[in-house]
Amino acid sequence: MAPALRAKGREAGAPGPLGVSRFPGRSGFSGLPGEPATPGLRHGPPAGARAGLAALRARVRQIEEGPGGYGGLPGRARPVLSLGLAALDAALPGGGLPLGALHEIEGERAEWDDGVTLGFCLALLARHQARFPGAGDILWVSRWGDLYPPALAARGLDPDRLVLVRAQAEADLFWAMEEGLRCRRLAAVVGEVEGLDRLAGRRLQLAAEASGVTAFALHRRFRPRRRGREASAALSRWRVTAANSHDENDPVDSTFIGRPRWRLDLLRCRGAAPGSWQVEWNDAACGFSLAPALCDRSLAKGPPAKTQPAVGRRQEPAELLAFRQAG
Amino acid sequence: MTAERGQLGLAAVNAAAGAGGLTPGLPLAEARALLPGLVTAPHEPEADARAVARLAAWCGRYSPWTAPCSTAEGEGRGPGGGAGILLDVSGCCHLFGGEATLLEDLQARLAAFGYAARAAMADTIGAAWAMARFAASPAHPCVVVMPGSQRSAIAALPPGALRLPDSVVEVMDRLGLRRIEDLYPLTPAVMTPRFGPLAARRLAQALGQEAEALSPRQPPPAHLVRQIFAEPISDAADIARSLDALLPRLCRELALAGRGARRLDLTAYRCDGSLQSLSLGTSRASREAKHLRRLFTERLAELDPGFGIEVMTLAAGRSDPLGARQMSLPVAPQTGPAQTAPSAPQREADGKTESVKAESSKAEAPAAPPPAPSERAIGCAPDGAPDGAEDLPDLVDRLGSRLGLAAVRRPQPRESHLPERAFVLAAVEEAPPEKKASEKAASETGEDWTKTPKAALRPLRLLPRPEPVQVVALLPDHPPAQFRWRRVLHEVVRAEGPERLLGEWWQIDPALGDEPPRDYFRVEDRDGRRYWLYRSAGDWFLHGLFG
Repeated sequence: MAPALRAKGREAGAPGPLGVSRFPGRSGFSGLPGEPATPGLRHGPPAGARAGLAALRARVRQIEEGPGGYGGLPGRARPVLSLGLAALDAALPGGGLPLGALHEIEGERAEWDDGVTLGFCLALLARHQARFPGAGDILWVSRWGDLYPPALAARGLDPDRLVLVRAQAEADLFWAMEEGLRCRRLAAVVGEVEGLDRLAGRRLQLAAEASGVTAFALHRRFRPRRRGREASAALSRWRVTAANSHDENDPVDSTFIGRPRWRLDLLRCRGAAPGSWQVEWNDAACGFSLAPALCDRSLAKGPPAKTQPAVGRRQEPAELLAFRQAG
Repeated sequence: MTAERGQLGLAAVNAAAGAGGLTPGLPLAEARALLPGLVTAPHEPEADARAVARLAAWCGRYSPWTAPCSTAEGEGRGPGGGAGILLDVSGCCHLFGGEATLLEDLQARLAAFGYAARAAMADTIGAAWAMARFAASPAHPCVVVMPGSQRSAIAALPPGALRLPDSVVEVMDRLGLRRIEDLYPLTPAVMTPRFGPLAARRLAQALGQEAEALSPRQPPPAHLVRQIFAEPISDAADIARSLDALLPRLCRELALAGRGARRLDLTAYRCDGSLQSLSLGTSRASREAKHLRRLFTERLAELDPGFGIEVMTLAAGRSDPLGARQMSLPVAPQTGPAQTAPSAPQREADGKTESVKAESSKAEAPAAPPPAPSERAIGCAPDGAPDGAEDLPDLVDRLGSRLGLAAVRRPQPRESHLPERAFVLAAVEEAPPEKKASEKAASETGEDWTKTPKAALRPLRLLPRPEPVQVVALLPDHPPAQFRWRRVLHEVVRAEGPERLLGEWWQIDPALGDEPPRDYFRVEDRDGRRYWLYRSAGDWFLHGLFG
């Protein structure tokens, strides 16, 4: 009697509201993306549960995107910005960096700002400008005002499309960012923030979702790192670390400075697993490429431990696809 | 009430002292002898002038053309002395119930502030000046000269009423010219050799034969709307409501004139005689009440109502031509009701433009089932700016109203090889079509970003001022082997350079002499961070960071 009931409950679990909180939901929780620890998930769920999962994912996406699909239009997916690198794009929800959302970019060192976060952010903006040429201006809100526009042209960004806003206080900065996010004529809003608390992050994220303008929060001089990071409402959080522009064992002449090279850590992203990549930015091609440290040759020598998950996922595209849909 | 001229004397006396026999110019010792209990205060001409200017500003509640009388005219003795304010009330009287009512109201309010004021209204400045000072009395402080009758009105007054210096009046007195009508038969040819050119001119001005312009305190705004309250208001909600009423009126006026406001001045005349004003600028001409209203929201709290505000005026302090703007028809879905299109012309007639319509079409969008996804919905989608969205200048205005318009800037190239001078921050200019035109113009004048020398070798972040670093180099001319910046040691693994930059010889201050040349190096430290260092006269500085 009891086993029959249980079986029935399991089958009925997928579509019914009761089942939602039971089997598929639980497995979804334990099988956090990026930690393929649950055996059930690794071998693939049974057919009935798979249909339930799909329904649930659709439901979750519906809830996330609001009534009637993204931007009030059913069947419309959130637009994404392809980063032009299969390894990166595959790890992001929807096949690229989601637009109309808040993204945090932080540096590795807490003591000072080494410009690397800025470099990565400008790379993203340059790609955005190349992908959507008519998207509009970029609002750059800062309290420091030390961005150097003449160098942006070489990065593939048109400095004429930049509006620089100098804020005196952090509150003004967030206010200006939020005002900017309400203006749909903008392509993106960038704020150089000292710290992004939960409330400010939530407000910015909501404003970005409502208007479809993408927001980037560049962390400068962030302090509360040691006390554990506060959960933020941003859709993704990246950490950028500078990397040597030439491999030490590189046979190529390494006396000259090469292209910018960064280690990107996707610390958190809604609907995607954390990951780590070493990439190189090419100004002329306006695109990323995997830095040689991650290429197969160096893989054999054993890359640093941090890059392993990314490599592992690259080899399992099928499983990755499943996670991506979860977002 | 004392003045100095070698000795202390009286500069002005009040009514009580005048009744006691004191007159301005009397030595203080004599005055003390006449009135032992005399209370005196030092004479401060600047403070007096400030007070009169303040009063003249307050008189702006009656007319925008107000000016204090020139100080030279107020220095005379007798009735010609004392300060005065001139108002050009042409076309303003009916707002206050007629000429006599306006004068009485003005006089009563000044009396309530504690001033002994006399007022007169006439066709000419000269006649009004004469009547206010010589014909009006404390018993009848308000005199209105009927239009065209100034000749007879001032006939019986002494020549001093013609705004003439005391010396001239003295000469006239000796010649037996004791009334202005005595001067009527005299021709300028007779008067000028005897009394100087001023006398004939003042007479002609007083009679209206010669034009005299009132130079107002400030140029009167061309577009001004005013609201007078039955009772003084002080509540913030009331102020906001009156602004809501004033703005559409001003915008209608601007629309009729085909102009848009670049600066708005909101002035509140408080019942204690002081005024509060609020000015804000816009980055482009605008007459959208909704947009302008939003700019005020951040600032309205700065207005201190004090004991209450009686009158509020809103003026377009600066305006630029702004033609009627073509509104694009809303991309209405086929199934949607076409109610937006017919209402568009009418809205244009109201002087409201695009943003209003955008608002309405946005509101209607959810109601109509959208069969085709419009680009508007996803904002930064490819192919052009979304339709019906707020313009960038509107955003700039809103940012500028809180942060100051100087804080919102767009970088412009400047042809200079010095990195810190290679760009300049300019005001955010107009909408895209004009921007393209300016781009074309810029390329013609040679100001272009591509002209930046070696842009790829320039840092993304340029420190506001170069920071000194301690450097260890293998040889004096070598790039650094390691450097210490902000107390952190960096080991240099790669370096490129030097790139030698000299100062701009046309900018050099001859007193300071030549700036030493800078040798720039791009260096990469062991962690892969890149820096821009330079050596100048043997010292090392860090100037920028590469991403």
